[in-house]
Amino acid sequence: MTDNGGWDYRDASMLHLFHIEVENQVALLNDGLLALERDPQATAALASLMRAAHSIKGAARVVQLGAAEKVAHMLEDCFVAAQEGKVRFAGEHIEVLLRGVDMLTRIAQDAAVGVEQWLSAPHAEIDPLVEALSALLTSASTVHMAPPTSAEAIHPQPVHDAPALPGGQTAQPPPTEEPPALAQSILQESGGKGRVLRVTAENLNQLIGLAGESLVEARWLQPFAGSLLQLKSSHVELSEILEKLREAWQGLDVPARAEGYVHAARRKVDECRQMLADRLTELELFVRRSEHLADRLYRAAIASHMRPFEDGVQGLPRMVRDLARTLGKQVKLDIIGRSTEVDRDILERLEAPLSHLLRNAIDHGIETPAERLAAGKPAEGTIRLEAGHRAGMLSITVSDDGRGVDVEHVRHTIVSKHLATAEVAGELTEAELLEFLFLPAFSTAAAVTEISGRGVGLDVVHSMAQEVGGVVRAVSEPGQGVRFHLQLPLTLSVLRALLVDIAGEPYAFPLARIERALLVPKADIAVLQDDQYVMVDDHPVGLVSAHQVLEVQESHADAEALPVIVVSDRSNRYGLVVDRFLGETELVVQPLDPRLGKIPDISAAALLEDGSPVLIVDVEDMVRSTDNLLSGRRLRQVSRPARDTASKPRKRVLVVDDSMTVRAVQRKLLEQNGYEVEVAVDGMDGWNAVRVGHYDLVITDVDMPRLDGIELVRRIKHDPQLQCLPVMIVSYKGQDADRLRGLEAGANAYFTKSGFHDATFLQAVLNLIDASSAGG
Amino acid sequence: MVHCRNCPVYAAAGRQLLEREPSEDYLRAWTRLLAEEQEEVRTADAISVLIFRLGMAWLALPTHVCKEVAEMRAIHTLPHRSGRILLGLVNIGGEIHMCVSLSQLLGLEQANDPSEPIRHKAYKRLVVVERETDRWVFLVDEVHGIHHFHPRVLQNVPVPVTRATSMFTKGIIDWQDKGVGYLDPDLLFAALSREIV
Repeated sequence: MTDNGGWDYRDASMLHLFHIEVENQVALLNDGLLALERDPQATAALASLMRAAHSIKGAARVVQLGAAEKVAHMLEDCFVAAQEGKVRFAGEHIEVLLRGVDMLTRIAQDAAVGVEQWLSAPHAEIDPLVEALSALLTSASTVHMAPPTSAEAIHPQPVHDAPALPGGQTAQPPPTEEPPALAQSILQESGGKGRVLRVTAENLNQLIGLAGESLVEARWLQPFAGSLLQLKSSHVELSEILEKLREAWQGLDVPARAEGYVHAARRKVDECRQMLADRLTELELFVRRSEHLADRLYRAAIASHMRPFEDGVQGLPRMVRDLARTLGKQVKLDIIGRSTEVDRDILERLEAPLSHLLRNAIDHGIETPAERLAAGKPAEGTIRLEAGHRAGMLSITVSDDGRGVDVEHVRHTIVSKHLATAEVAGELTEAELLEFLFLPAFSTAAAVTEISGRGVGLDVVHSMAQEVGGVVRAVSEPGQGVRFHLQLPLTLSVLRALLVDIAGEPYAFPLARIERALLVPKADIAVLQDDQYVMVDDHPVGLVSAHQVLEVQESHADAEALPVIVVSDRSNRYGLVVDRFLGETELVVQPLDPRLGKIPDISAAALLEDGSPVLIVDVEDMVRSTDNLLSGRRLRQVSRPARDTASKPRKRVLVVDDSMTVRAVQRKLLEQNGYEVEVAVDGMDGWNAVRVGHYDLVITDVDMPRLDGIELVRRIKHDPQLQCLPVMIVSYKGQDADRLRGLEAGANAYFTKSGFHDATFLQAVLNLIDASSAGG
Repeated sequence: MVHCRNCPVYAAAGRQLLEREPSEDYLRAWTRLLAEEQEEVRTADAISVLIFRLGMAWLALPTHVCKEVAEMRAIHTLPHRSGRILLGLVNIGGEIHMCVSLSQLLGLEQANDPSEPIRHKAYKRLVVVERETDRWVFLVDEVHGIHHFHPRVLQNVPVPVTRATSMFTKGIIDWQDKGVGYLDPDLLFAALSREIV
């Protein structure tokens, strides 16, 4: 990992890309598998299934998620075997394959939020799954007989709920269970409520957008009506002038006709004034009506973003039941406030933290029936999951009646993990101690179990809450249980933000994510080793220009005081210098175009009242970028390509691959080595690209939809204008036959992706490009 | 003078007027006109295009990819991303879309010719093009409107056109004594996605 040019393949944006890619491919996998389940003869689905698994495998290897790679690899093998007619899948085989797919989703989700448990391939949850999958290869050929060995391993239980026990055995309650009572009651409850329609998110966003726009347009009317008042006063002036004219020629010998005209003119002016006054009144009434309507329309559109809480928690009762059974405990889950309206984006993100909290409660909180009876409690433990609106926030509480958290034990762990000295730890209050539970990898459990490595789970809860601008708190009563309070904003679609001006353009900082906003007089700025800093609450805070972090034009405002926004994450605190504070505002958040991918430092966009766009800053990202900037990492990265362009034109490389992750990694790698990179998403796209753009090298994958890599090479090599363009194939297919097929088509080099991270890849790129520029 | 409109004289005069034989010239003129209609472009395979101006160049895109022509609005640059071709984000009907410079993509010189009259600024428009889910907004200096032409009248691209432009041009449409470059939407969308994504 050190010979890769100095950056981490597993940085956050890569894992984010990986997550998106897995989500897309998993949808294909699920569709394909269900089609196969309905009709085992539907072999047409196998090709796309194989390609999807193949793509995930490649992407997982690039981001070095060994576990995902292993699972995807097994899936691909299964599909290939099926395609070749060696095996046929039906019934419970599909179940195993679906479990593999679920696992991929889970790994990608965890990786995207920074959970690191999937880094290595040998893993207690992965290995049995991989075994079950490979068992399919031998057993699935006899379709009508369910083989006992694999049937044990492939018990059809959602993978989340089936933690592997030591020794690779999966927990197995009998498969034919009565449906969980709670789940049923949810169904009954929701049956009585208003009908729910499926609307695509795109449609809904469009509706909200249009409603917002109509509000902007309606607000334009008020100033317009105001401007007409000027016309009114001009009329008054005109009338006065006519009056003066009449006075001026008093006593003079004026023809009666002229006198008549002036009189008529005055009458006309009065008429105009009256008419204008009437129209203005009408207009003002209309303005008020239309603003009111637009406002209501807008609110109604925003409200359509809300869904009842129960929609997001339907899977939980089943999970609690299964898990409790596995651990030999009796647990009942009460869900209160099912109809509480929750923003659908928040609801989506609640799933993981809530199941972590519940898992925690069952594993660590609730005691065994014997212990409970001994403590004078009912044998059955109760977990309450409560949702409600409180003080303009969404409040969610998870409480259990278990043994509670041993505060002294936490204190002890803090000291033993060197998070604080014994003296400091001794003075911490209970609330402060419980805060430590939310630190990454802070676990008080003596043995980290598969079910809930406590620290990891709570860390996820904390970061989810923080991401959406909320807080999480824990309250423990020893012997009586633990209560976790989540306080979250009611909606993610409306955001209160501080509007600032950076390089002449508006940017918004979410109020919940900034620590302070202050005007720092120039005299208060101190310099320490080339770094500027300012004292905030008796702590030095490094000052960085927001322009530099965002890489936008630096402006030279010469104000007496600098507008500074103090932002922080858990380890860093910085003051970002902006050009101007514009004020506080409420914004309707619009996601950025997904084609842009993740833009560093920016989380979303919105429209200001005048209809112009504003970018919403991703504060966490910005702190990280600032940190990188100060430690000089990015400075180097920025300066290097700049120098190259100055000396000679950069060579252009086209990367053709259907995996978003592979594209991103190759682009980054090549760009860091001074190449200009463009990408194409499949062979057809690549073919369009080479005909239009001028490239010095094409790097292509083999397996791609629409037009595969071999055919792309063939077309390039048959085109009289392009045949001199060097083409390199980078594929997983490492067999000699594959290599030969590529080279026969005309490829100049053939690489297997396993050799992709090392320097030989770059050397090959260099060789090919130099050979081509020397030759032509 | 007062006319009686009910008497048979009036009716007869009216009938005479309405039932008179059309003149030879009149018939010939209409025959010619109707015969010409056959030659006109509004036949089934006519192509409908939106004609617009980028700097000195007049260009056309098929109408079915053009979703909207909007007034000029503020464009917000994207940090780390905005560049030669991707200009930034722009609000179209309450939605935020990516705005690109077509003249940069096509390699046309900037239209900032100081001799150009200022009034032209008033004609600047944003054109929204869309195909499936791929949507882009680009800046044009003027929009003429919709024009129909028959594929037969499409002329070949002359050689001295700049390389980048000729790459994207399917042919030249003769319109109001100007040569309008008919752009290939497939290549255009492909190139835009590649530049940005």
